[in-house]
Amino acid sequence: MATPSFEDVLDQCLDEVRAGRLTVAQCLERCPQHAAALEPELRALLAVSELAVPASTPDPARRAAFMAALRETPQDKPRRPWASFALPRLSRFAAVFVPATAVAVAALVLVLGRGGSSAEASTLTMFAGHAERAEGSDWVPLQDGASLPVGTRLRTDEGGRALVTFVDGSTVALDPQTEVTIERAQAGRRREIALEQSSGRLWSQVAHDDRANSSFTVRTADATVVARGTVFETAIANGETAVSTAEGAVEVQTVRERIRVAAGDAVRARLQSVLPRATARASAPAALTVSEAFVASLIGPDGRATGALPDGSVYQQIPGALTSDPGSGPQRLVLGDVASGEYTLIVRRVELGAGTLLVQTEGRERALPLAAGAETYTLRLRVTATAAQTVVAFEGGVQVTPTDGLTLRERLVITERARQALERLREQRQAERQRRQQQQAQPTFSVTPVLRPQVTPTVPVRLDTAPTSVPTRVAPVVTPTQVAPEATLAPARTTQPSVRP
Amino acid sequence: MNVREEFVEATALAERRVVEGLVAQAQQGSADAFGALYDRYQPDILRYLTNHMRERDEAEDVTQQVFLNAWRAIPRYEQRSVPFKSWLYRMAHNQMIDHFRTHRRPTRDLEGIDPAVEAEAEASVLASERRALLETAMQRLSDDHREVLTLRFLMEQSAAEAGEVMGRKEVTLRGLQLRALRALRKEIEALGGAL
Repeated sequence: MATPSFEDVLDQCLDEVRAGRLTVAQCLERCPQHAAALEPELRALLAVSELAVPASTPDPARRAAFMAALRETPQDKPRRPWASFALPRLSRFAAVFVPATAVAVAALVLVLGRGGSSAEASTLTMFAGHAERAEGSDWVPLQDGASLPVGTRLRTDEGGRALVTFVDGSTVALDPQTEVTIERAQAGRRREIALEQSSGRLWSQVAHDDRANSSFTVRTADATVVARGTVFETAIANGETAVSTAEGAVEVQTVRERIRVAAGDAVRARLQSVLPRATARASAPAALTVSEAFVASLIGPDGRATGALPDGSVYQQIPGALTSDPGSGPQRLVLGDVASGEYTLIVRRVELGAGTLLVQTEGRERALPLAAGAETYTLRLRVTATAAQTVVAFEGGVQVTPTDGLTLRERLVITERARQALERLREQRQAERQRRQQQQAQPTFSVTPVLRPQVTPTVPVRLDTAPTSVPTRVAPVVTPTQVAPEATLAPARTTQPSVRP
Repeated sequence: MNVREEFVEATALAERRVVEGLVAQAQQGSADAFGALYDRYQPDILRYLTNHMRERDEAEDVTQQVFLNAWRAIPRYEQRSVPFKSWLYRMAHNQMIDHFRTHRRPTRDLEGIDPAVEAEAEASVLASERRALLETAMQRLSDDHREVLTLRFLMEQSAAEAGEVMGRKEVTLRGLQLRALRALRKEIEALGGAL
């Protein structure tokens, strides 16, 4: 192997020191033969870094002024490729096909945006059908990935399923024929997101925000729902608004009342009055639990996803489906009042070791062993949600692949703010882990997970088959200690309105 | 490559595809698509220009002009030639040079410290002096040296990314950054400072 040049060694050290992974002293220790020459350069790097200007959020007024100026500014004519003269038909084809393909590929694979780069603009992700925004008295089509500034009024058509991701990482899933206006969307000194819902159904996942005065509100003609870090649904039908909470708690406010609606509870409101009877949703949920060496992601029939990625990102886009945070124990996915159809479950490895996928449906439990060497499991599920229960059945086999890294099917918009929050959480957990390790006073030997690609052929698994028939894939039921606490999608309880003093 | 690295690579690929899609739409005249590109890159370009120009308001104005120029020129941009982000950085660099040609280049020197600052605590004064010294040393560097240090250490770009912006091979850029650091040390010493 060729000896790296001094420039290469310096470059590596610069990156390590700049990223805070190593101190100057540690770098010098690692490269004793270059230490004398490296030190002054690394000191110079630290000096330059002192001049760095911190990142800032753009001024919404400037953005608005820019967009106004942009609409007045004509574009240059495109460069005419030489081939267009020789192959006019091909060039016309390319002019239509290439951009369309680029957009389609972007839409199909993953949307990973830096929505945090804008203090105000939110990002639209389209999963099915169409969405459009109001412009004066007209409605103009919205594209997948569109930026939605404050004031945007948008609606989905009869087949439209969309997701809006706000700057703090909170998301709102829009069902078909849903209309909503983004009244406020900021997350600077305090998070303030306010929506006005005029019709349809919204499934809101509100990012946790401990700061005082942070708010996330959905206002309808019937009531205002105030949330902090929670998952809830607001549905407008038959002249009233139904609010149900799946996780955490929300407050439903009318001009007369203020009611706390906890997980599993639901209330209805009509014209600023809470109705005496709650909307009960009594179906028994199904649940999928993976052990701690893995994370799971459930992708719905329309492409919306609920689950977690190996980097710790947690998302809950599927109305009626919830996930626990894998950072706090075995990850548990709960399927309540979801749309029936074909779902895909992707189980990805995050640590070495074997594990289990526990399936709880129709009052039964089944456990699938997850092998120590395999990286990614992909399973197709048939989910049937009735008024009484949600049933999960596996279709086809289990596909085991080395990795699905390049075919990530979840479509997430990861904002800068959400990424930073995730980074902070990771550091906290790392510190906590180190603290625990030190307390245990065990030998400080650790194994860095080295995940080798290993392809295992597709193995058909039928959950209704006796475990002994496929001993390598189906194991007896796991012990209850491996299962996370009971789901929060429990049957709804009736909440009586209380009168605000 | 482990799952996390695969994920990072996958997200980078996906980000590239999203940007390609937005660029393609903007090339067809979509203001919304260009607005989305503005949201993605405006903070980076503003930070880059502020790092160079040290005057936030001026940098804001130049940033707006960069994006307007980019909107005008985007139909002529070829995705295969250089990544869109690097293309924007090049435009920002050129716009900044144009700006300095028509406006007096802001210079700072050690005598320019605000007297009010001197009344502050000694530590604060020392920090201000050190900062002024570093800024002066940076201003005295050649354009290439200042650019490579800005991209690598103020904008935290990798050597490969900085190379794309500056139109240099990665290996050439590493040599350039070494020379730039040495030149900076020399300037700091010439100004009577020490690292």
